[in-house]
Amino acid sequence: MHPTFPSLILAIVSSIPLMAGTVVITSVPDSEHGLEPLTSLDGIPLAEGTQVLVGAFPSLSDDQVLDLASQGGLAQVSAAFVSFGDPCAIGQGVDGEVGGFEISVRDTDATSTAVDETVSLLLQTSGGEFLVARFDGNVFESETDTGLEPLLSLHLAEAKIIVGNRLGTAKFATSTAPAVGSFSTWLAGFSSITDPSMKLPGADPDFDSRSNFLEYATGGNPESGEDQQPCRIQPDGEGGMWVHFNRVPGLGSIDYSLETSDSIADSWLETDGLVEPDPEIPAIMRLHLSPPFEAPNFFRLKVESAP
Amino acid sequence: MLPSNSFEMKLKYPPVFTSGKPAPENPANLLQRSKVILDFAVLLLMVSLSALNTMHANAIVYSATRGNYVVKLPGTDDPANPVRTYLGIQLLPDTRFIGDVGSVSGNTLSLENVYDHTNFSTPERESYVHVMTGSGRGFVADITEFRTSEIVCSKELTPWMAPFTKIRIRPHSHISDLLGADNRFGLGAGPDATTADNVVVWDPDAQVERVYYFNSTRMRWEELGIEADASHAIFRFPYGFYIVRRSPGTIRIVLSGEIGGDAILLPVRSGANVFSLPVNLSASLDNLLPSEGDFAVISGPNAKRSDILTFEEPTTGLHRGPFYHLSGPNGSGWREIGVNNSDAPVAPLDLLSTLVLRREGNASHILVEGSLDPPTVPRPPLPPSPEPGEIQLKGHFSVPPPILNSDVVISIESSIDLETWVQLTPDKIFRDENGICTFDLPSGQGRAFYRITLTPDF
Repeated sequence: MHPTFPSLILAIVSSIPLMAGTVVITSVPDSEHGLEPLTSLDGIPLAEGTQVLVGAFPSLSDDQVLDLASQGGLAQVSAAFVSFGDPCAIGQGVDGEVGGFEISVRDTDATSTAVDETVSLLLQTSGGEFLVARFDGNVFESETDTGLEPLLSLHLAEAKIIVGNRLGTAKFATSTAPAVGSFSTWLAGFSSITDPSMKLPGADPDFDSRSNFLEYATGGNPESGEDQQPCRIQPDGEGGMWVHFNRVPGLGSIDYSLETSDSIADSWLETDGLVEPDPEIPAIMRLHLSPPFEAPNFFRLKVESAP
Repeated sequence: MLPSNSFEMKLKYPPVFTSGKPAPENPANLLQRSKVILDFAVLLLMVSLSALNTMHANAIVYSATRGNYVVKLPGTDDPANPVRTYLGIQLLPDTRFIGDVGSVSGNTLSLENVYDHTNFSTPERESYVHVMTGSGRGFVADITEFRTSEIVCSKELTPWMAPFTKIRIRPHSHISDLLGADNRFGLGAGPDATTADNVVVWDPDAQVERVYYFNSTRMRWEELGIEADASHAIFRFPYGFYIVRRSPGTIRIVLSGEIGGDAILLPVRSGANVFSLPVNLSASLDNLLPSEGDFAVISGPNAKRSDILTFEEPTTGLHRGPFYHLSGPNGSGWREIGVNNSDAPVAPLDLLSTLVLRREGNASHILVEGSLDPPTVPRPPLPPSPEPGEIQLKGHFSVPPPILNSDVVISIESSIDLETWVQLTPDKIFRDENGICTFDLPSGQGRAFYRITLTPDF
């Protein structure tokens, strides 16, 4: 028998700092979240190299973030953004698939100014387009001394897009800086509209049958009844037709949907055709209609403020 | 003290803690009385023979394997910036019964061939039943009452066990079992919970923590906001706990007990859950938790729709994960969130890891497997980390002279991996005239496992 006494294995215990928190965000679709791959404004799926930052815009409302984006672009948005954890990227957590990500960010900075602020996401493409999303009702919590480390699990489809573009509930896109800011900031730029009742979203001060909100969402002029109709049907020159509508790049909270009906009176449904950006002018969206045209078909643009 | 022939007789007959009728006296009790003495903040090494199998001529008999984990708890120089160490409870109080179920009805069971079930209660302890075989393998139910003819549990038992299902009965640990009624490891005491080190148990039903501390005025364990002795606060199996330190300096604590290698059905609640894991020498995410079947994790097409798991390793301080199990059109398998092609799901998990599981869905059970089989991949060694000026820890145990004088050779074996066992030699063990054996524990932290072997000396 060998006179040996077994050595105990020795190890280092490193401390686990308190005041940590983790945020998990996924864009991977499921039965409740039918999100399609994220794209650039011209409809190209975002590739690896697009940065995904989790963080917050301390003390800024959604409208203030949008105004900041319209006035100062990505630079000002980035300056107001407080990062939480390390930067991530498109393709991360989804084995490099374009247009998607599934990330986990952890932050241990007890003094972070992100604490108690709404969880936000800032995507930046290498081409300078960006997207700002906020998860209303979800704030960064500071870890208490004795509580469990906070962990939030979120789906991008549940976020409110502040800057960027959306088509229906399933298509999100990055954008250049919006040409206009929030609705109230935009309307304040039209000095002739002074009557408070004419400043309401549903009002039509230029009597062109387009509400202020529709003018705002489609790049119209609420002081002029002669600007272009936001939705048009035009021949494609080869027997087919194009349905075009205007959108304002960057107004992420506006949900555009193209509806169709075979009876103008009712039964409007969102078209199941491919609505895509016009490659020449990404601010214009289009749907191609191929012949034959045997029955009447009506189209209308629906714009609404996303919840 | 029992005469030596009494002990020998026990060795020649069937063991006490099987499905048979309990004996009035047994080796486990004998050794319980002679159990380990702990001095200073020192290791409690208690040897018992509660799992002795029948000893045949020329056969070597092993006791239940016991383990000792020496764990460092880092402190802080800034009380406003405390540090936390998660701890699983895998070294468990002694088994009081292991054997077959006789009958089951509702939340009541009887044990096969047992005439007085009160023999298995432990004074001042709450106990639990742990199912070891059958379709309910791993199920745990608290015992609310030991009656002469039956045992009453807190949960409906019929879905989980039937006659001849093998079960184990153990008491739950108290805070004073683990840390000493006198705070023997020297956690920072204070007049209130906000100034002292905290011992925290997560209550998954209420989704709140229960905070304990050693009150420096009344010199006892108390719960936050409750001026009462909390020495008997229960650290309920199979949950884990964590220690939050606000005081400076590293301290070492020793966890000691029987190796808990049985599979467990973790009772998962909606929200956050903190679990101890059974000892599994091959532990990795891939082979610890099932991804399909009745007791699988909630698996989905993305992290949002799935259970999210993280593992806290006290010996390395590593925070591993989060993970989830992917199932859907994009494939199937464990994923480390945010990591492409991660090999983490097959990487070895530290034995002492604590599982923190977050669920958005409904409550259910998840089966987690224990295993004392040799690991399928080598376990990474723990690096040494002795602290300057560290106090030498000593382990003590006593072996009653009647045993040593019997015609059975008793020896102590030790292992650091539960695979290779080495006999403790006399030059490393110092035995006094009362049979108290003492040995040094290495500096730093580590783990060791012990068992008694009995060899006939014919």
